[in-house]
Amino acid sequence: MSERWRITARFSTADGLRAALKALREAGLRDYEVFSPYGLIEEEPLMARRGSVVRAFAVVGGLVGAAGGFALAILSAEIYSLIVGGKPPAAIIPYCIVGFELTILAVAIFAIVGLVMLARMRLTALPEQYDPGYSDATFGLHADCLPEQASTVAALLRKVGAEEVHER
Amino acid sequence: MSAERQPHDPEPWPTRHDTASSRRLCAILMVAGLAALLFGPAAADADPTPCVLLANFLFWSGLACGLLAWAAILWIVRASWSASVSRIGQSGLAFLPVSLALLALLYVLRGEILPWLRHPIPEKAAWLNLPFLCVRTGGSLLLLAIACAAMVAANLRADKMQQVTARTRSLLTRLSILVVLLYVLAFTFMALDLVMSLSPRWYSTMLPPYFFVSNLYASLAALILLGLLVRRSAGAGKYLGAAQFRDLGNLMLGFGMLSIGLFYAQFLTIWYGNIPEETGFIIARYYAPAWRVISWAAFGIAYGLPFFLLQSRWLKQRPGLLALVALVALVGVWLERCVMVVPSLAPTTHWLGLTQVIISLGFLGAFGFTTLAFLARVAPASKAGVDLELSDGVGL
Repeated sequence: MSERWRITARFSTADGLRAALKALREAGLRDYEVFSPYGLIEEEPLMARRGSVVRAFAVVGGLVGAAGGFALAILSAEIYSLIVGGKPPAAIIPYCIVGFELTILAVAIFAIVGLVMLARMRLTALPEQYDPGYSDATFGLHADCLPEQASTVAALLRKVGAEEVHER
Repeated sequence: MSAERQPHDPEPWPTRHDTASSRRLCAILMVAGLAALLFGPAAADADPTPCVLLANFLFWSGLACGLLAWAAILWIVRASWSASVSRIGQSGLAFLPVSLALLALLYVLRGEILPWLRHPIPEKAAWLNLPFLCVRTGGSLLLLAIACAAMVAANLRADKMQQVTARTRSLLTRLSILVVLLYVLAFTFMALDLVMSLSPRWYSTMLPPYFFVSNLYASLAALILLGLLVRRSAGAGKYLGAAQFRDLGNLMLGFGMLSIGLFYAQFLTIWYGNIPEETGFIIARYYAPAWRVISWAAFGIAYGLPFFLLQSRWLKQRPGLLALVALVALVGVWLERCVMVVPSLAPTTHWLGLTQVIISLGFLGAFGFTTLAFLARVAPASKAGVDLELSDGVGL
C-alpha cells in the first residue's frame, strides 16, 4: 500500500468546515476525520463514515428478543401444559405481548452494549496532530491522501477558508 | 421533530399553489362518480351501493376532519416546522360541506344501513333511536365543522392582515383545542353509530379510539400526498422540503404503530373473552371465508407494509417514494373501512363491482377537487405558521 500523507486544516466556523467537506467530497476524497467542539448534525451526510453500527446491534437484539419471547412463552406452555381458558397451549395471539416485551428489552440491552463497545470509552491517546482548540472553539479536518495529491488538497482547503493548513 | 430549518427568503411570503391540472382530473373523477351513483346498474339481489356510500363517507370525512385535526394539533404543540403542512391540513375544511351533504343522504338511506330500525332492540332503545342518533352524530359533526371553519377563518384573517397579534394567537389556540376535542367526540359517535350499530348486538369500547386514531394515521398519508401535489408550486418549496416530509413520515410511522396497537388490544380482548356477542364481528371479518382474505389484506396494506417501509430514513427523505407509501396506506385504510361496514350489512353480496369502484373514485375526485381548490385560493403557508417558524416557537 502506498504511503499516505496527512493534511490537517483548522477552521474557526462550522460553515468553513462544511464548505471544506463539500469541496473534498467533490474532489473525490473520502479518507478524512472531523473534529468539532459540538455535534454537527447537519454535516452528518458529509462525514466519511456514515451512520452508526449501533443500529445493527439493535436489529440483532430485536430479532433475538422476538424469537426468545415467543420461545419462552410457547415452550413454557408446552412443557408445563399450561392450558388457559380452553385455548391451545401455543396460542400465538396473546404471546405477541411476551414477544414484543422481550423484543424491546433485548433491543435496549443490545443497543447499550453496542454503544459502550463502539463509543471508544477506553481511548487513552488522542489522535496525532490533535489540537486542544478542537474541544474549545475551533474545528479540525484531518485528511489522508496520496503524496501527489497533497498540494492540491492543501490548496483546496486554503481556498475554502481554512485558517491553518499543514502537510505531513 | 425536525432540527433542519429551511432557508428563509428575506420576504417570507410565498405565492399561491397552481393546482389547475390536478383539479381538472379530480373534476372528471367526480362527474364519473356522480354518474355511476345516479345511473349505474343496480345489482340483482341486494344493492351494495348504500354500504359503499357509508364506507366512503366514513373514510373521506375522516380524512377531511383528520387533516383539520392535524392543523389544530400542529398549532397546539407549536410545531415550528409545519407552516405549509398545517395550511394543507386546513384544506380539509373545503370537503366538510360534501361530508354534511353525504350525512344527509345517508339519513335518507337510513332504512338500508341501520338494521336496528327494522328490527329494534328494546334493551338498547335508549341509545339506538333515530332522533338521538341524529342529534349526537349529526350535531357533533356540525359543531366540528363550525369550529374548524372558525379556526381556518382566524388563520386566513391573519394572512390578510399580514400580522399575527397576541389576541389572534390566543384565539387560534383555543379554537385548535376545541377542534381536537370535537374531532374525538364526533368520530367516537360516528364509530358507535355508523360502524358498531350496524351489528347491533356487538359492542367494543376499543372501537372508537381505534377509529379516530386510524383516521389521524390516514390523514397523515393524505397530508403527504397533497404535499407532494402542491410542493412544486411557486414559493412552497422552502416551507415543504425533505425535512418536513421526513417528519410527516416519522409521524405516520408512529400513528401506524399506535393504530396497530389499538387494533391488537381490541382483537386480543375479544379473542380471549370468547363471548359470542363480541366474537361475531371478528369472525365475520377475519375468520369467515368470504371476508378473511380481504380483511387481512386490508390490514397488511394499511399498516403492515407501511410499517416496514417507513423504517427507512432514506425513503422518508424522498417525497415521491414516501407519497407512494402514503398511497398504499390510504388504499389499505379505505379497504379497511369497507371491511368495517360491508360484512355487517351484506355478508354474502358481491360487494365491489365496477359501479361501486367508480363511485369511490368519484369521492376521491370530490376530495381532491375541494382541497386543491382551497389550496389554490390561499397562500401555501399561513402567516401564523410562518411567524411560528421564524420565532422557532419561542414566546408564542
